[in-house]
Amino acid sequence: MSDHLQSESVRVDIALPSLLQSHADGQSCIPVMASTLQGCFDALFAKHPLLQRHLFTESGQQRPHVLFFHNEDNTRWLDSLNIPVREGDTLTILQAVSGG
Amino acid sequence: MTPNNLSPSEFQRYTRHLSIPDFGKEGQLKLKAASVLCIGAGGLGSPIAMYLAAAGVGRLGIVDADVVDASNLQRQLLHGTSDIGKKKIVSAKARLTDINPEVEVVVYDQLFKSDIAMELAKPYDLVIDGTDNFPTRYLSNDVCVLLQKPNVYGSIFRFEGQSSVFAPHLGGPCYRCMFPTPPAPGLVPSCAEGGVLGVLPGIIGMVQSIETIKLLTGIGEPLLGRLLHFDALSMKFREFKLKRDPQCPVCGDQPSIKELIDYEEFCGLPATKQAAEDSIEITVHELNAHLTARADFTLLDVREPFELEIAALPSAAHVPLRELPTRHGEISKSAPIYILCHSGVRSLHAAQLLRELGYPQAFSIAGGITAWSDEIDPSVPQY
Repeated sequence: MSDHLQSESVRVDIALPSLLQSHADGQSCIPVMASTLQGCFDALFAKHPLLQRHLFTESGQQRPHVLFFHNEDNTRWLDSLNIPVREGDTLTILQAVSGG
Repeated sequence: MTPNNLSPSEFQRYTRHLSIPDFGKEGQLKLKAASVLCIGAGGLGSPIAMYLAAAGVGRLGIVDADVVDASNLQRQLLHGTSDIGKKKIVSAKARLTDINPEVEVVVYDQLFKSDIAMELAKPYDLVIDGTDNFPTRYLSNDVCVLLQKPNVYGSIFRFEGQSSVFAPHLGGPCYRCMFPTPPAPGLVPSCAEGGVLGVLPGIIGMVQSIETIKLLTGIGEPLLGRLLHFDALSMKFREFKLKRDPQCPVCGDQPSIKELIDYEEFCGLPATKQAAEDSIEITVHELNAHLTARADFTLLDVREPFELEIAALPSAAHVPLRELPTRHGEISKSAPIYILCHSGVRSLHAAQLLRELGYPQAFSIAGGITAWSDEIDPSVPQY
Protein backbone atom coordinates (compact mmCIF):
# COMPACT_ATOMS: atom_id res chain seq x y z
CA MET A 1 0.00 0.00 0.00
CA SER A 2 1.34 3.44 -0.91
CA ASP A 3 2.01 6.29 1.49
CA HIS A 4 -0.95 8.12 -0.04
CA LEU A 5 -3.33 5.37 0.88
CA GLN A 6 -2.07 5.45 4.44
CA SER A 7 -2.74 9.16 4.84
CA GLU A 8 -5.84 10.54 6.47
CA SER A 9 -9.20 10.27 4.73
CA VAL A 10 -10.97 13.52 3.85
CA ARG A 11 -14.39 14.29 2.48
CA VAL A 12 -14.69 14.48 -1.31
CA ASP A 13 -17.96 15.12 -3.13
CA ILE A 14 -18.52 13.02 -6.24
CA ALA A 15 -20.91 14.61 -8.76
CA LEU A 16 -22.79 12.27 -11.08
CA PRO A 17 -24.47 13.09 -14.41
CA SER A 18 -28.23 12.50 -14.49
CA LEU A 19 -27.82 9.42 -16.66
CA LEU A 20 -25.94 7.59 -13.95
CA GLN A 21 -27.94 8.76 -10.97
CA SER A 22 -30.37 5.86 -11.28
CA HIS A 23 -27.46 3.58 -10.32
CA ALA A 24 -26.86 5.64 -7.18
CA ASP A 25 -30.32 5.78 -5.64
CA GLY A 26 -31.08 8.93 -7.61
CA GLN A 27 -28.35 10.99 -5.94
CA SER A 28 -26.56 13.69 -7.93
CA CYS A 29 -23.80 14.19 -5.38
CA ILE A 30 -22.25 11.46 -3.26
CA PRO A 31 -19.88 12.38 -0.44
CA VAL A 32 -17.13 9.86 0.25
CA MET A 33 -14.22 9.67 2.66
CA ALA A 34 -10.90 8.87 0.98
CA SER A 35 -7.28 9.89 0.83
CA THR A 36 -6.69 9.41 -2.92
CA LEU A 37 -8.67 9.57 -6.15
CA GLN A 38 -8.53 5.77 -6.34
CA GLY A 39 -9.90 5.69 -2.81
CA CYS A 40 -12.78 7.92 -3.93
CA PHE A 41 -13.71 5.46 -6.65
CA ASP A 42 -13.33 2.51 -4.29
CA ALA A 43 -15.67 4.18 -1.79
CA LEU A 44 -18.14 5.08 -4.54
CA PHE A 45 -18.24 1.55 -5.90
CA ALA A 46 -18.56 0.09 -2.41
CA LYS A 47 -21.77 2.10 -2.06
CA HIS A 48 -22.98 1.74 -5.64
CA PRO A 49 -21.31 -1.22 -7.35
CA LEU A 50 -23.24 -0.90 -10.64
CA LEU A 51 -21.45 2.36 -11.36
CA GLN A 52 -18.14 0.56 -11.74
CA ARG A 53 -19.29 -1.26 -14.87
CA HIS A 54 -20.56 1.95 -16.38
CA LEU A 55 -17.33 3.83 -15.76
CA PHE A 56 -14.62 1.19 -16.22
CA THR A 57 -14.15 -1.75 -18.57
CA GLU A 58 -13.78 -5.25 -17.19
CA SER A 59 -10.02 -4.85 -17.54
CA GLY A 60 -10.14 -1.73 -15.39
CA GLN A 61 -9.72 0.88 -18.12
CA GLN A 62 -11.70 4.11 -17.97
CA ARG A 63 -14.44 3.90 -20.59
CA PRO A 64 -13.67 6.34 -23.44
CA HIS A 65 -17.06 8.04 -23.37
CA VAL A 66 -16.80 9.07 -19.70
CA LEU A 67 -14.76 11.85 -18.16
CA PHE A 68 -13.48 12.26 -14.61
CA PHE A 69 -12.43 15.67 -13.35
CA HIS A 70 -10.54 16.12 -10.10
CA ASN A 71 -11.72 19.64 -9.37
CA GLU A 72 -11.07 21.16 -12.86
CA ASP A 73 -8.51 18.66 -14.08
CA ASN A 74 -9.16 15.74 -16.41
CA THR A 75 -7.82 12.58 -14.78
CA ARG A 76 -7.44 10.74 -18.11
CA TRP A 77 -3.97 12.25 -18.38
CA LEU A 78 -2.82 10.92 -15.05
CA ASP A 79 -0.50 7.91 -14.94
CA SER A 80 -2.28 6.70 -11.84
CA LEU A 81 -5.30 7.53 -9.71
CA ASN A 82 -3.12 7.23 -6.64
CA ILE A 83 -3.23 11.01 -6.27
CA PRO A 84 -3.90 12.57 -2.88
CA VAL A 85 -7.13 14.46 -2.39
CA ARG A 86 -7.83 17.34 -0.05
CA GLU A 87 -10.81 18.17 2.10
CA GLY A 88 -13.50 19.79 -0.02
CA ASP A 89 -12.21 18.49 -3.37
CA THR A 90 -14.76 17.44 -5.97
CA LEU A 91 -14.65 14.55 -8.39
CA THR A 92 -17.01 15.24 -11.28
CA ILE A 93 -18.10 12.45 -13.57
CA LEU A 94 -19.42 13.40 -16.99
CA GLN A 95 -20.25 11.36 -20.03
CA ALA A 96 -20.81 11.92 -23.71
CA VAL A 97 -24.30 12.99 -24.67
CA SER A 98 -25.44 13.50 -28.22
CA GLY A 99 -28.62 15.56 -27.96
CA GLY A 100 -29.05 18.70 -29.97
CA MET B 1 -14.16 40.37 -49.79
CA THR B 2 -14.31 42.27 -46.52
CA PRO B 3 -17.01 44.93 -46.57
CA ASN B 4 -15.67 48.36 -45.67
CA ASN B 5 -18.88 49.93 -44.51
CA LEU B 6 -22.39 49.37 -43.27
CA SER B 7 -25.51 50.51 -45.05
CA PRO B 8 -27.79 53.10 -43.39
CA SER B 9 -30.24 50.34 -42.49
CA GLU B 10 -27.42 48.27 -40.98
CA PHE B 11 -26.25 51.23 -38.90
CA GLN B 12 -29.78 51.48 -37.56
CA ARG B 13 -30.19 47.73 -36.98
CA TYR B 14 -26.87 47.19 -35.22
CA THR B 15 -26.74 50.38 -33.19
CA ARG B 16 -26.56 48.51 -29.86
CA HIS B 17 -23.50 46.63 -31.14
CA LEU B 18 -21.92 49.77 -32.52
CA SER B 19 -22.13 51.46 -29.15
CA ILE B 20 -20.13 48.71 -27.37
CA PRO B 21 -16.62 50.16 -27.05
CA ASP B 22 -14.77 46.87 -27.67
CA PHE B 23 -17.03 45.80 -30.52
CA GLY B 24 -18.21 48.82 -32.51
CA LYS B 25 -18.25 49.19 -36.25
CA GLU B 26 -15.08 47.12 -36.63
CA GLY B 27 -16.69 44.13 -34.93
CA GLN B 28 -19.86 44.52 -36.92
CA LEU B 29 -17.94 44.61 -40.21
CA LYS B 30 -16.12 41.42 -39.19
CA LEU B 31 -19.46 39.72 -38.58
CA LYS B 32 -20.76 40.97 -41.91
CA ALA B 33 -17.72 39.53 -43.65
CA ALA B 34 -18.03 36.19 -41.86
CA SER B 35 -19.68 32.94 -42.84
CA VAL B 36 -20.91 30.21 -40.49
CA LEU B 37 -22.21 26.71 -41.20
CA CYS B 38 -24.67 25.43 -38.62
CA ILE B 39 -25.23 21.68 -38.74
CA GLY B 40 -28.79 21.07 -37.68
CA ALA B 41 -31.87 23.29 -37.47
CA GLY B 42 -33.22 21.67 -34.31
CA GLY B 43 -33.00 22.45 -30.61
CA LEU B 44 -29.49 23.93 -30.68
CA GLY B 45 -29.65 25.11 -34.28
CA SER B 46 -32.74 27.24 -33.61
CA PRO B 47 -31.27 29.71 -31.10
CA ILE B 48 -27.88 29.59 -32.78
CA ALA B 49 -29.23 30.51 -36.22
CA MET B 50 -31.73 33.07 -34.95
CA TYR B 51 -29.24 34.97 -32.80
CA LEU B 52 -26.43 34.84 -35.35
CA ALA B 53 -28.81 36.10 -38.03
CA ALA B 54 -29.98 38.88 -35.75
CA ALA B 55 -26.37 39.73 -34.89
CA GLY B 56 -25.52 40.21 -38.54
CA VAL B 57 -23.30 37.26 -39.54
CA GLY B 58 -22.92 37.82 -43.28
CA ARG B 59 -23.63 34.32 -44.57
CA LEU B 60 -25.37 31.65 -42.57
CA GLY B 61 -25.51 28.09 -43.87
CA ILE B 62 -27.96 25.59 -42.37
CA VAL B 63 -27.80 21.84 -43.03
CA ASP B 64 -30.84 19.73 -42.18
CA ALA B 65 -32.84 17.08 -44.01
CA ASP B 66 -35.56 16.72 -41.39
CA VAL B 67 -39.26 17.58 -41.44
CA VAL B 68 -40.94 19.58 -38.66
CA ASP B 69 -42.77 17.36 -36.20
CA ALA B 70 -45.08 18.44 -33.38
CA SER B 71 -42.61 17.01 -30.85
CA ASN B 72 -39.98 19.51 -32.07
CA LEU B 73 -41.96 22.61 -31.13
CA GLN B 74 -41.30 22.51 -27.37
CA ARG B 75 -37.72 23.69 -28.07
CA GLN B 76 -37.09 24.32 -31.78
CA LEU B 77 -38.22 27.92 -32.07
CA LEU B 78 -37.19 28.28 -35.69
CA HIS B 79 -40.38 26.40 -36.51
CA GLY B 80 -44.01 27.00 -35.65
CA THR B 81 -47.19 24.98 -35.48
CA SER B 82 -48.10 25.90 -39.05
CA ASP B 83 -44.75 24.41 -40.19
CA ILE B 84 -45.57 20.84 -39.07
CA GLY B 85 -44.94 18.52 -41.98
CA LYS B 86 -42.75 21.02 -43.84
CA LYS B 87 -39.01 20.75 -44.36
CA LYS B 88 -37.13 22.39 -41.52
CA ILE B 89 -34.88 24.31 -43.89
CA VAL B 90 -37.96 25.97 -45.43
CA SER B 91 -39.30 27.29 -42.12
CA ALA B 92 -35.76 28.10 -40.98
CA LYS B 93 -35.03 30.21 -44.03
CA ALA B 94 -38.35 32.06 -43.74
CA ARG B 95 -37.83 32.77 -40.04
CA LEU B 96 -34.20 33.86 -40.39
CA THR B 97 -34.89 36.09 -43.36
CA ASP B 98 -37.69 37.72 -41.41
CA ILE B 99 -35.38 38.28 -38.44
CA ASN B 100 -32.73 39.88 -40.61
CA PRO B 101 -33.02 40.28 -44.39
CA GLU B 102 -29.48 41.70 -44.48
CA VAL B 103 -28.09 38.19 -43.87
CA GLU B 104 -27.58 35.68 -46.68
CA VAL B 105 -29.21 32.43 -45.55
CA VAL B 106 -28.08 29.34 -47.46
CA VAL B 107 -29.98 26.13 -46.74
CA TYR B 108 -28.93 22.57 -47.55
CA ASP B 109 -31.73 20.01 -47.65
CA GLN B 110 -29.52 17.03 -46.94
CA LEU B 111 -27.87 14.99 -44.25
CA PHE B 112 -24.36 16.02 -43.26
CA LYS B 113 -22.56 12.93 -44.52
CA SER B 114 -18.97 11.98 -45.34
CA ASP B 115 -19.46 12.17 -49.10
CA ILE B 116 -20.50 15.84 -49.05
CA ALA B 117 -19.33 17.21 -45.70
CA MET B 118 -15.97 18.63 -46.81
CA GLU B 119 -17.53 20.34 -49.79
CA LEU B 120 -20.30 21.83 -47.63
CA ALA B 121 -17.98 23.11 -44.91
CA LYS B 122 -15.12 24.38 -47.07
CA PRO B 123 -16.63 27.79 -48.00
CA TYR B 124 -17.38 28.69 -44.38
CA ASP B 125 -15.15 30.28 -41.74
CA LEU B 126 -16.48 28.20 -38.87
CA VAL B 127 -18.74 25.22 -38.19
CA ILE B 128 -21.26 24.93 -35.36
CA ASP B 129 -22.13 21.45 -34.15
CA GLY B 130 -25.86 21.47 -33.48
CA THR B 131 -26.45 17.85 -34.35
CA ASP B 132 -28.29 15.22 -32.35
CA ASN B 133 -26.25 12.08 -32.90
CA PHE B 134 -22.75 10.75 -32.35
CA PRO B 135 -21.82 9.88 -35.96
CA THR B 136 -22.43 13.46 -37.11
CA ARG B 137 -20.54 14.85 -34.12
CA TYR B 138 -17.43 12.82 -34.98
CA LEU B 139 -17.88 13.72 -38.65
CA SER B 140 -18.16 17.47 -38.01
CA ASN B 141 -15.13 17.24 -35.72
CA ASP B 142 -13.00 15.48 -38.31
CA VAL B 143 -14.12 17.83 -41.09
CA CYS B 144 -13.11 20.84 -38.99
CA VAL B 145 -9.75 19.36 -38.00
CA LEU B 146 -8.93 18.47 -41.60
CA LEU B 147 -10.05 21.88 -42.90
CA GLN B 148 -8.51 23.74 -39.93
CA LYS B 149 -11.76 25.46 -39.01
CA PRO B 150 -13.09 26.00 -35.47
CA ASN B 151 -15.84 23.60 -34.42
CA VAL B 152 -18.17 25.22 -31.87
CA TYR B 153 -19.57 22.30 -29.91
CA GLY B 154 -22.72 21.93 -27.85
CA SER B 155 -24.74 18.95 -26.69
CA ILE B 156 -27.66 18.47 -24.34
CA PHE B 157 -29.56 15.83 -22.40
CA ARG B 158 -32.46 16.25 -20.00
CA PHE B 159 -31.31 19.10 -17.69
CA GLU B 160 -27.61 19.18 -18.58
CA GLY B 161 -25.56 20.62 -21.39
CA GLN B 162 -21.95 20.85 -22.53
CA SER B 163 -20.14 23.33 -24.74
CA SER B 164 -16.61 23.92 -25.94
CA VAL B 165 -14.61 25.22 -28.89
CA PHE B 166 -12.54 22.59 -30.67
CA ALA B 167 -9.75 23.99 -32.78
CA PRO B 168 -6.41 22.13 -32.76
CA HIS B 169 -5.03 24.62 -35.29
CA LEU B 170 -5.54 27.33 -32.64
CA GLY B 171 -3.84 25.26 -29.96
CA GLY B 172 -6.81 23.48 -28.41
CA PRO B 173 -8.07 19.91 -28.44
CA CYS B 174 -10.66 18.32 -30.72
CA TYR B 175 -13.79 16.36 -29.83
CA ARG B 176 -11.89 13.06 -30.15
CA CYS B 177 -9.35 14.28 -27.58
CA MET B 178 -12.25 14.56 -25.13
CA PHE B 179 -14.15 11.43 -26.17
CA PRO B 180 -11.83 9.12 -28.15
CA THR B 181 -14.67 6.79 -29.09
CA PRO B 182 -18.44 6.98 -28.74
CA PRO B 183 -20.45 4.94 -26.25
CA ALA B 184 -21.73 1.60 -27.44
CA PRO B 185 -24.98 2.02 -29.40
CA GLY B 186 -27.91 2.45 -27.09
CA LEU B 187 -25.83 2.92 -23.95
CA VAL B 188 -26.52 6.66 -23.88
CA PRO B 189 -30.10 7.50 -24.81
CA SER B 190 -30.85 10.30 -27.24
CA CYS B 191 -33.11 13.21 -26.32
CA ALA B 192 -35.90 11.39 -28.18
CA GLU B 193 -35.45 8.46 -25.82
CA GLY B 194 -34.43 10.21 -22.61
CA GLY B 195 -36.03 13.63 -22.98
CA VAL B 196 -34.75 17.18 -22.78
CA LEU B 197 -36.06 20.31 -21.10
CA GLY B 198 -37.16 22.58 -23.94
CA VAL B 199 -35.35 25.63 -22.55
CA LEU B 200 -32.01 23.83 -22.22
CA PRO B 201 -30.91 24.09 -25.89
CA GLY B 202 -31.64 27.80 -25.59
CA ILE B 203 -28.93 28.12 -22.94
CA ILE B 204 -26.36 25.93 -24.66
CA GLY B 205 -27.14 27.29 -28.14
CA MET B 206 -26.68 30.78 -26.75
CA VAL B 207 -23.24 29.82 -25.41
CA GLN B 208 -22.34 28.50 -28.86
CA SER B 209 -23.59 31.71 -30.48
CA ILE B 210 -21.51 33.89 -28.16
CA GLU B 211 -18.41 31.78 -28.75
CA THR B 212 -18.99 32.05 -32.50
CA ILE B 213 -19.23 35.84 -32.37
CA LYS B 214 -16.09 36.01 -30.21
CA LEU B 215 -14.14 33.84 -32.64
CA LEU B 216 -15.32 35.78 -35.67
CA THR B 217 -14.57 39.20 -34.19
CA GLY B 218 -11.50 38.32 -32.12
CA ILE B 219 -12.89 39.58 -28.83
CA GLY B 220 -12.66 37.89 -25.44
CA GLU B 221 -11.24 34.48 -24.57
CA PRO B 222 -12.66 31.59 -26.55
CA LEU B 223 -13.81 28.42 -24.81
CA LEU B 224 -10.70 26.73 -26.16
CA GLY B 225 -9.28 23.93 -24.04
CA ARG B 226 -12.19 24.34 -21.67
CA LEU B 227 -15.40 22.34 -21.31
CA LEU B 228 -18.35 24.28 -19.97
CA HIS B 229 -20.93 22.11 -18.21
CA PHE B 230 -24.35 23.45 -17.30
CA ASP B 231 -26.72 21.81 -14.86
CA ALA B 232 -30.15 23.45 -14.94
CA LEU B 233 -31.38 21.72 -11.78
CA SER B 234 -28.62 23.13 -9.60
CA MET B 235 -28.31 26.20 -11.87
CA LYS B 236 -24.56 25.80 -11.99
CA PHE B 237 -22.08 26.43 -14.76
CA ARG B 238 -18.83 24.59 -14.19
CA GLU B 239 -15.66 24.71 -16.23
CA PHE B 240 -13.19 21.89 -16.76
CA LYS B 241 -9.81 21.81 -18.46
CA LEU B 242 -9.29 19.94 -21.70
CA LYS B 243 -6.13 19.49 -23.70
CA ARG B 244 -5.04 18.10 -27.02
CA ASP B 245 -4.18 14.42 -26.97
CA PRO B 246 -0.84 13.83 -28.72
CA GLN B 247 -2.14 10.33 -29.53
CA CYS B 248 -5.40 11.62 -31.06
CA PRO B 249 -6.00 9.81 -34.36
CA VAL B 250 -7.10 12.98 -36.14
CA CYS B 251 -5.31 15.94 -34.49
CA GLY B 252 -2.47 14.15 -32.70
CA ASP B 253 1.21 14.24 -33.52
CA GLN B 254 0.95 11.31 -35.92
CA PRO B 255 -2.65 11.25 -37.12
CA SER B 256 -3.96 8.05 -38.65
CA ILE B 257 -7.19 9.63 -39.92
CA LYS B 258 -6.32 11.83 -42.88
CA GLU B 259 -9.64 11.63 -44.69
CA LEU B 260 -13.23 11.11 -43.67
CA ILE B 261 -14.36 7.62 -42.68
CA ASP B 262 -17.70 5.79 -42.33
CA TYR B 263 -18.98 7.40 -39.14
CA GLU B 264 -22.00 5.17 -38.68
CA GLU B 265 -19.74 2.14 -38.75
CA PHE B 266 -17.32 3.91 -36.37
CA CYS B 267 -20.20 4.47 -33.96
CA GLY B 268 -21.32 0.87 -34.30
CA LEU B 269 -24.66 1.66 -35.86
CA PRO B 270 -26.44 -1.14 -37.66
CA ALA B 271 -26.83 0.56 -41.07
CA THR B 272 -23.68 -1.06 -42.34
CA LYS B 273 -24.40 -4.47 -40.88
CA GLN B 274 -27.29 -5.55 -43.03
CA ALA B 275 -26.09 -9.12 -43.30
CA ALA B 276 -25.96 -9.50 -39.54
CA GLU B 277 -29.45 -8.08 -39.19
CA ASP B 278 -31.09 -10.58 -41.50
CA SER B 279 -30.76 -13.52 -39.15
CA ILE B 280 -31.20 -11.60 -35.94
CA GLU B 281 -34.70 -10.21 -36.50
CA ILE B 282 -38.21 -11.58 -36.39
CA THR B 283 -41.35 -9.86 -37.70
CA VAL B 284 -44.29 -8.79 -35.59
CA HIS B 285 -46.32 -11.51 -37.35
CA GLU B 286 -43.83 -14.14 -36.18
CA LEU B 287 -44.05 -12.72 -32.66
CA ASN B 288 -47.83 -12.87 -32.84
CA ALA B 289 -47.63 -16.52 -33.90
CA HIS B 290 -45.34 -17.32 -30.97
CA LEU B 291 -47.72 -15.54 -28.59
CA THR B 292 -50.74 -17.37 -30.02
CA ALA B 293 -48.94 -20.72 -29.72
CA ARG B 294 -47.99 -19.87 -26.12
CA ALA B 295 -44.42 -20.80 -27.00
CA ASP B 296 -41.71 -20.66 -24.37
CA PHE B 297 -39.82 -17.40 -24.81
CA THR B 298 -38.96 -14.13 -23.06
CA LEU B 299 -40.42 -10.91 -24.41
CA LEU B 300 -37.97 -8.19 -23.43
CA ASP B 301 -38.83 -4.50 -23.78
CA VAL B 302 -35.72 -2.30 -23.84
CA ARG B 303 -37.44 1.10 -24.03
CA GLU B 304 -37.37 3.83 -21.41
CA PRO B 305 -40.01 3.73 -18.62
CA PHE B 306 -41.95 6.72 -19.96
CA GLU B 307 -42.40 4.94 -23.28
CA LEU B 308 -43.99 1.96 -21.55
CA GLU B 309 -46.54 4.29 -20.04
CA ILE B 310 -47.61 5.29 -23.55
CA ALA B 311 -47.75 1.82 -25.06
CA ALA B 312 -46.71 -1.63 -23.90
CA LEU B 313 -47.32 -5.31 -24.60
CA PRO B 314 -48.49 -7.43 -21.68
CA SER B 315 -46.11 -9.91 -20.05
CA ALA B 316 -43.00 -8.18 -21.34
CA ALA B 317 -39.96 -7.97 -19.07
CA HIS B 318 -38.44 -4.51 -18.95
CA VAL B 319 -34.75 -3.61 -18.98
CA PRO B 320 -33.85 -0.28 -20.66
CA LEU B 321 -31.13 -0.81 -23.23
CA ARG B 322 -28.67 1.39 -21.33
CA GLU B 323 -28.97 -0.96 -18.33
CA LEU B 324 -28.64 -4.17 -20.32
CA PRO B 325 -24.83 -4.42 -19.97
CA THR B 326 -25.23 -4.62 -16.20
CA ARG B 327 -28.60 -6.38 -15.91
CA HIS B 328 -28.49 -9.06 -18.59
CA GLY B 329 -28.00 -11.67 -15.88
CA GLU B 330 -31.70 -11.29 -15.05
CA ILE B 331 -32.60 -12.86 -18.41
CA SER B 332 -32.86 -16.62 -18.94
CA LYS B 333 -30.62 -18.12 -21.60
CA SER B 334 -32.70 -21.27 -21.94
CA ALA B 335 -35.46 -19.86 -24.16
CA PRO B 336 -35.55 -17.48 -27.14
CA ILE B 337 -35.55 -13.77 -26.27
CA TYR B 338 -37.66 -11.52 -28.48
CA ILE B 339 -36.68 -7.90 -27.95
CA LEU B 340 -39.01 -4.96 -28.40
CA CYS B 341 -38.41 -1.23 -28.69
CA HIS B 342 -40.09 1.71 -30.43
CA SER B 343 -39.06 1.05 -34.02
CA GLY B 344 -36.54 -1.77 -34.03
CA VAL B 345 -33.25 0.11 -33.70
CA ARG B 346 -32.58 -0.22 -29.99
CA SER B 347 -33.85 -3.80 -29.99
CA LEU B 348 -31.34 -4.62 -32.71
CA HIS B 349 -28.52 -3.20 -30.61
CA ALA B 350 -29.84 -5.19 -27.67
CA ALA B 351 -29.96 -8.42 -29.68
CA GLN B 352 -26.40 -7.87 -30.91
CA LEU B 353 -25.23 -7.09 -27.40
CA LEU B 354 -26.95 -10.14 -25.89
CA ARG B 355 -25.50 -12.42 -28.55
CA GLU B 356 -22.03 -11.09 -27.73
CA LEU B 357 -22.79 -11.84 -24.09
CA GLY B 358 -23.70 -15.45 -24.80
CA TYR B 359 -27.39 -15.33 -25.67
CA PRO B 360 -27.51 -16.96 -29.14
CA GLN B 361 -31.32 -16.96 -29.16
CA ALA B 362 -31.69 -13.16 -28.87
CA PHE B 363 -33.82 -11.67 -31.65
CA SER B 364 -34.92 -8.13 -32.40
CA ILE B 365 -38.56 -7.52 -33.32
CA ALA B 366 -38.35 -5.60 -36.60
CA GLY B 367 -40.27 -2.33 -36.57
CA GLY B 368 -40.84 -2.49 -32.82
CA ILE B 369 -44.09 -1.60 -31.13
CA THR B 370 -44.87 0.79 -33.99
CA ALA B 371 -45.02 -2.15 -36.40
CA TRP B 372 -47.08 -4.09 -33.86
CA SER B 373 -49.59 -1.23 -33.81
CA ASP B 374 -49.56 -0.90 -37.61
CA GLU B 375 -49.84 -4.57 -38.47
CA ILE B 376 -51.24 -6.51 -35.50
CA ASP B 377 -53.11 -4.37 -32.98
CA PRO B 378 -54.12 -0.80 -33.94
CA SER B 379 -55.43 -0.23 -30.41
CA VAL B 380 -51.81 0.05 -29.21
CA PRO B 381 -51.08 3.80 -29.19
CA GLN B 382 -48.34 5.17 -31.41
CA TYR B 383 -45.97 7.96 -30.42
